[in-house]
Amino acid sequence: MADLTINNVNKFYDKTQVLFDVNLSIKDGEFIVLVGPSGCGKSTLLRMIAGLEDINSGEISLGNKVINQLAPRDRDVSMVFQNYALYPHLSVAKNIGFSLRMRKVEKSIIDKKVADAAEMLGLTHLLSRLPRNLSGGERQRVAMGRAIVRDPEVFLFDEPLSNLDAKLRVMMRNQIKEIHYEVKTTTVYVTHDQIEAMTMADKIVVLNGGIVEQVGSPDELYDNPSNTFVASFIGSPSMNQIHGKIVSEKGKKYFQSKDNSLFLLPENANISEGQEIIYGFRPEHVDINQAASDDAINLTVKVDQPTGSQSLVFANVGDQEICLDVPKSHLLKPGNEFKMSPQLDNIHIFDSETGKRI
Amino acid sequence: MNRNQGSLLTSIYTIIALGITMIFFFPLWWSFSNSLRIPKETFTVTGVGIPFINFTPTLGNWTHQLSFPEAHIALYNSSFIAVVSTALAIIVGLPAAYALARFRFRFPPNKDITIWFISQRVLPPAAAVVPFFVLWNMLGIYDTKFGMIIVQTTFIMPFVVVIVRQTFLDLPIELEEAAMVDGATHIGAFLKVAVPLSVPAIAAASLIMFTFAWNDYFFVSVLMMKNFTLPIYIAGGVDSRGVQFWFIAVRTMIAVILPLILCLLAQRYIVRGLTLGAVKG
Repeated sequence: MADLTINNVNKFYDKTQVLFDVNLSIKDGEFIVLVGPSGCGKSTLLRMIAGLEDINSGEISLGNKVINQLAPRDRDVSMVFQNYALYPHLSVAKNIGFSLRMRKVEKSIIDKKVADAAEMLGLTHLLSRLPRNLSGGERQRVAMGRAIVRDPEVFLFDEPLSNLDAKLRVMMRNQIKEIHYEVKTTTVYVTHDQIEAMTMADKIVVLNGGIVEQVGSPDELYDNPSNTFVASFIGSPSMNQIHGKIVSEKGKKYFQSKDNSLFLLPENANISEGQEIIYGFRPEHVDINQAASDDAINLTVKVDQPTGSQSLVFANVGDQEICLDVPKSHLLKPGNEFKMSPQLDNIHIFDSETGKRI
Repeated sequence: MNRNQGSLLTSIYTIIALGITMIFFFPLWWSFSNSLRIPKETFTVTGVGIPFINFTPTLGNWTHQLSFPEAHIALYNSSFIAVVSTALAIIVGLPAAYALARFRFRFPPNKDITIWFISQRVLPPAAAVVPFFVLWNMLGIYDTKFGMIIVQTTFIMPFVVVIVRQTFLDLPIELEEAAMVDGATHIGAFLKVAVPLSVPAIAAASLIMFTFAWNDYFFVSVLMMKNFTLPIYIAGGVDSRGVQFWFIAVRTMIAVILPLILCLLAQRYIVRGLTLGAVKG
């Protein structure tokens, strides 16, 4: 068992740089999720940890050992690929036992470990089948079995659930977490799905354009996004972000949007009058109608999307559309007016130039 | 289209296909039929030459031909040279095909190397045979099976390189990556994953290569003397007394048997969908 450290890692494809000075330290047993839009370099980083991509500069070390130059097989990591990459000519049992056979483990031990892994994943009745005779979810489980049978230092998952349907994805999410609780192996998990990241991670790494935007627990990222990118990427629906500036009235500080709507700001906010900012609040952190404060603004419902007990209400502040996640109500139908005020404790203010949190 | 029309069309296609097959199959049939006739009847029998109906069959030609050592020498030499050349071409060609599919060479670039392999096939054998003759004499491997195997391997290897390279390109690279993460060396991933999954292509290429080496007349006629092979042996059926159709027929049949058996055996391996279930799809 060991910590995984990534130190100033850069990656170029020909002349294009895809990773910029990535620094990460992953503690033993942690479940880390690398998340970001497609092309942000998250899979590349994972493949560099696996040894499938060269490292142009910087160091990746496992424990005290730098593993930059080690072949994939010498790194003691195991990987689950997005498309599973099962060996089609081998049975499920042989697929799971492949890595042990490669390491010349004794046959009786292989059989036992394969049986254990299959038991854990509910694959026991499928052991003699070929991958072509399995369903998508079963193939996914075999791929997992192949990774866990070896008891490696680090698990690497490359978008393992993106090929499954929605229901199966939720199930597998649980199963992966369960396995992690059980084996407590350091895990690096790549996904573009922020919900997967939020639900599974101990720590999330948000990558964008090859740069680490923020590292933190799901709560930290949700409550204190360090910039507008993280703010809009984490959380669904995204955080509302309105452009405007600070004004003072009657001794209180307000945020004034482009259409001159005024939003009250917390008193302790570290901002000065006239400053251009981005005013952010999450759809769920608003009060409406009777619950709204005295400083509430009036809005007109454009579209409502019921989601069960809640409803997503879309309205315009000037020409900027905002989304509100509020209890369902017959008053919130298209064309109706309503009062809304963001909750003061949950307002996020970002610099309009840099996008950084103030 | 309803079902009746469909089955009618199928029958028509089947009849057309059968007709075409008959046309191409006829010379082979005629050879077989000739091999069972007494010499006189190879000239006189009319019709399609069905034994017992058009003539009384005899195994005389067969027993006569097989009683001479030439038939055995030719059969042995042909088999040995073709089998060993094919095996050698696979052993040398598979890694080449894999390298071309999976690695990027700067100079010369992959495309040029591939074309160079194909150019060995495009090259007229006549242009190569004289240098071979001189070189083989110098090296003392003229008229040896070893020398012939080298020549045949040179000329058939492009098949395996070009055919299997494409198969390797079509294999999901993740399979080999998974094997490497799982503890295989790159060579291990090649041998344990890429090669087993390319067996259909390798079988097809082997069959083609075997047939080329088996059928070669030109190089054998120039580079061998006492060590002849089946094509030379068949051609030897023409002598000062004219064309001995009855013997040529027997020799042709001998030359057909082994490729036929191999073809039937290889058929089992030339199956589609071996990689089914490997990746999501």
